[in-house]
Amino acid sequence: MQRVMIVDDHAPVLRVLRLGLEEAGYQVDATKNGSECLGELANGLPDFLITDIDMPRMNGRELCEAIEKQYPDRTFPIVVLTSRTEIEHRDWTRGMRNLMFMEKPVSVRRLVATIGRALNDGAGQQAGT
Amino acid sequence: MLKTDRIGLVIVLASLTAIATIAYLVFQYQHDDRLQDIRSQGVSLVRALSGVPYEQLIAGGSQQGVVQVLQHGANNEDFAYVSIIDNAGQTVNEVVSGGLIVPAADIPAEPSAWLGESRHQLLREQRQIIEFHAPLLENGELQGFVRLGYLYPNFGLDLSQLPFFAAVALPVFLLVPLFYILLRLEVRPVREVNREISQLIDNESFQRVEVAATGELGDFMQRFNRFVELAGTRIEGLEQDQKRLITSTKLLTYRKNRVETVLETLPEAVLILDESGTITFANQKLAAMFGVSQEVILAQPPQQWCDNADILQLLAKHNAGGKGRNFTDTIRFNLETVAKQAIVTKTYPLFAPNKPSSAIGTLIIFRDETQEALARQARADFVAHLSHELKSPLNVLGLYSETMLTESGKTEEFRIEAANVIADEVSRLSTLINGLLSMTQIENGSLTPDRNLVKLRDVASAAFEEARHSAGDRDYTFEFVAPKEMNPVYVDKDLIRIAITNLLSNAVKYNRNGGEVRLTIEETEDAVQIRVADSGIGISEDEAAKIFDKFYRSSDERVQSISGHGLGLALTKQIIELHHGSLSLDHDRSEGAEFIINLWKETTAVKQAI
Repeated sequence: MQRVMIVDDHAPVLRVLRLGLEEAGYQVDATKNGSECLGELANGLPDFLITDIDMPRMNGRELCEAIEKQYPDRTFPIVVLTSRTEIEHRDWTRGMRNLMFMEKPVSVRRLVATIGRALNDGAGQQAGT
Repeated sequence: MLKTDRIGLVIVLASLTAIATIAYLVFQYQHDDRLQDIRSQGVSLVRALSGVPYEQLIAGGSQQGVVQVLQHGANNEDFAYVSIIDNAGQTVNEVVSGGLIVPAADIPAEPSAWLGESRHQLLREQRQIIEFHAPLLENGELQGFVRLGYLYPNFGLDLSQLPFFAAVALPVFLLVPLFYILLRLEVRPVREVNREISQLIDNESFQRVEVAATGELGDFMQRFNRFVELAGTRIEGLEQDQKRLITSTKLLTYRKNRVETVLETLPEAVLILDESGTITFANQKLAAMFGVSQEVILAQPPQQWCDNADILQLLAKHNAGGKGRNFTDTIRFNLETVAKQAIVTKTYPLFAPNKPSSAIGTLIIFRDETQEALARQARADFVAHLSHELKSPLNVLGLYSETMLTESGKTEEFRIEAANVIADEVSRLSTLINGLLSMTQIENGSLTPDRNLVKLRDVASAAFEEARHSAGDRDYTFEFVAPKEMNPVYVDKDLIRIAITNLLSNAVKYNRNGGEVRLTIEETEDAVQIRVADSGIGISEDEAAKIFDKFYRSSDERVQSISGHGLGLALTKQIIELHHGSLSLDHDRSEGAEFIINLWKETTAVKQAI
C-alpha cells in the first residue's frame, strides 16, 4: 500500500484528508507541522507528501527546503496546498524538482486524482509547473 | 585759468633761459678772446725777451733795464710779472704788478720744454697765472730763463659790459609781457569754449555752445555744435530705446517670474531643457528629489548630480543631435538615493507659440508616485491577505461538504463533527467579515459612531462575562475591577464593546494554563482608563510596533498555533481613535501583555473636538 504523508496544523483538515485518502486506498501519516514531518521522514520516506504553507514551528516552505537539503535524491512528489496565488509566493520553489502547488479550497477528489497520476507516471512534475 | 598762468610762467622762464644762454655764450666768447690775446701777446713778448742779451735783462738798481721798461710799457691790466732767473733757478731780476708774488717754478730740464706755457695758482688769491717762459742763451749757452706771467682772465660779467647786457635784456623783458598779452588774447575764445564745455560736462547736458569765434576755432565750434546736436538726437533715441528695453525687461522678468512661480508651485518636480538639451530650469522639488541645489543642476552636467542610469539616458536623448525630442513618453524607475521611491517621468515637447511645428525645448515632469505605489502595494497585500483568510475556512467547508457525500462521511460521528467544524468556520468567517466591514467603514469615514452617555462598567462587564464563557473549562483566573459608581461616558456602546471584547479575546487565546485575565477600569477627573492584562506569552519589542497593523500575526509558534486573522487589534485601535482616545501597550510588564485604552470623559473641550 502506498503511503501518503500529510502536514497541516489544522486538525479538521488533517482528519478529512485522511478519510478521503484512506478511502482511496492509501496509507496516511498525518503530522502537525514541518518539524514533526521531518522527524517522521527519518523513519521512512513516503510515496507522496502533502503540506500546508502556514504552520507553526516549521512552515511548508521551510519544510520543502529542508527536504531538498536532506534528501537531494528524493523521488516522492510533493504537493503544497496554498491560498496564495501571487507568483512571488512561489518563487522559492525555483529549482526544486517534483513539486507542485494546489490552490485552496482543495477538493479531495482532485487531490486523489493528482496523487494517482503522479504515482502512476513515476515521475513528478517540475517545480512551478 | 591755471593753464593760462602756467603759459605765462613758461614764457617768463623761457625768456630768462634765453637771456642766460645768450649771456653765457657772450661771456664764453669774451673769455676765450681775451685768453687768446694774452697768449698771443705773451708768446710774442717772451720770444722777444729771449732774444735780448742777458746782461740787459738783469740790469737793476738805478739803471733802468729792459724788464723795468716792460713794466711801464706793458699798460696791460692783466700783466702780472716778468722774472729773469739764472741757471740755478735764482731770480736775478723781476718786475711784478702791485701786491703779487711770483710763484715758484721749476726750471725745465729738457731743452724741448724750455719754451712753453704753464699755469700757476697764486698763493693768496683765488686767481690763476698763465705763464710763458723762454730760455736765455748767450753764445749757445743757457744763461737762464725769462718768465712772463699774466693774470688768467675771469669768466663773468664785467661792469664795463653792463650797458651792453642791459641793451640786450631790456627788449627781451619788454617783449615777454607783450607776447603774453597777445597769447592770452588769442586763447581767450578757446578758454571760453573750454569753460562752456566744462559746464556742459558738469551739468551732464547736451546743448549748443554759443561762443563768438572766427577762423579755425569758429569752424571747430560749428562742427562741435553739429556733433552735439547729432549726439543729442542719438542719445535721445537711445534713451527711448532704453526705456522701451527696461519696460520689456520688466515685463519679461514678470512673466518669467510668474512662469517660474507656477513651475515651483506644481506638486511635481520639473526640469526644462532647451532645444540643444541644455537644462534651463529646475524647480526646488527636483533639487530636493536629487538632494542637490538648483544651482548645481543648472551648472553641472547630469552625471554630477544624478546616479540613476534611466534619468541619464533620458537626458542624453535630448542632447543636441539626439533623437526622440518630439515625443511624449513615460518612464518609471526607482531613485537609488531614496530606497523604494517610485518616480514616473513624463516628457513633453515644447513648441514655439507662433510655429507649432518647431520644438523649442522639452518639459520633463518627475512625479513621485511612491505613495501611490505603496498604496497599490498595500491594496494588493490587503486583497492577498483577505483571500488567504477567506480561503482557509472555505477550504475546510469545501473538504467537509465533499467528504459528507462519500461513504466515510456518512457516519453519524462524522456528521456531528462536520456540523461543529462548519459552525466554527462560519463563525470565523462572520467575525472576519464583520471586522473588515467595520474597519472599512471607519477608514472610509462612513461609520458615524452612535454616541450616547453609556455606563461603561455595564458594557465592560458584559464583554468580560462573554470572554469568561468563551474560555470554557480552561484553567484561567478572571478578575474584573471597576468602581461601582462611575460617571457615564459619551461613546458608541457597541463599538466600545467590540474593542474590549477583542482585547479580552486575545487575553484568553494567548494565555497559559493557570494564567490570569484581568479587566480593570479606573476613572480620573478627565478620562477613563480600561486595562486588559493577561499572563500569557507576551509581546516582544520588535512585534510591539507591528501588532496594530492589519493582518499582522506574530511569527511565534505559540501564536501561529492559535486561530486568528490579525485584524482584532487593528480594528480595536481604529475604534478607540474614532472616539479620540488612545490604545497602547504597556511595555514594562515582565509577563504577559497589558493593553491600555484611554477615553476622554465628556467635557466641553471634548465636545468641541467631536
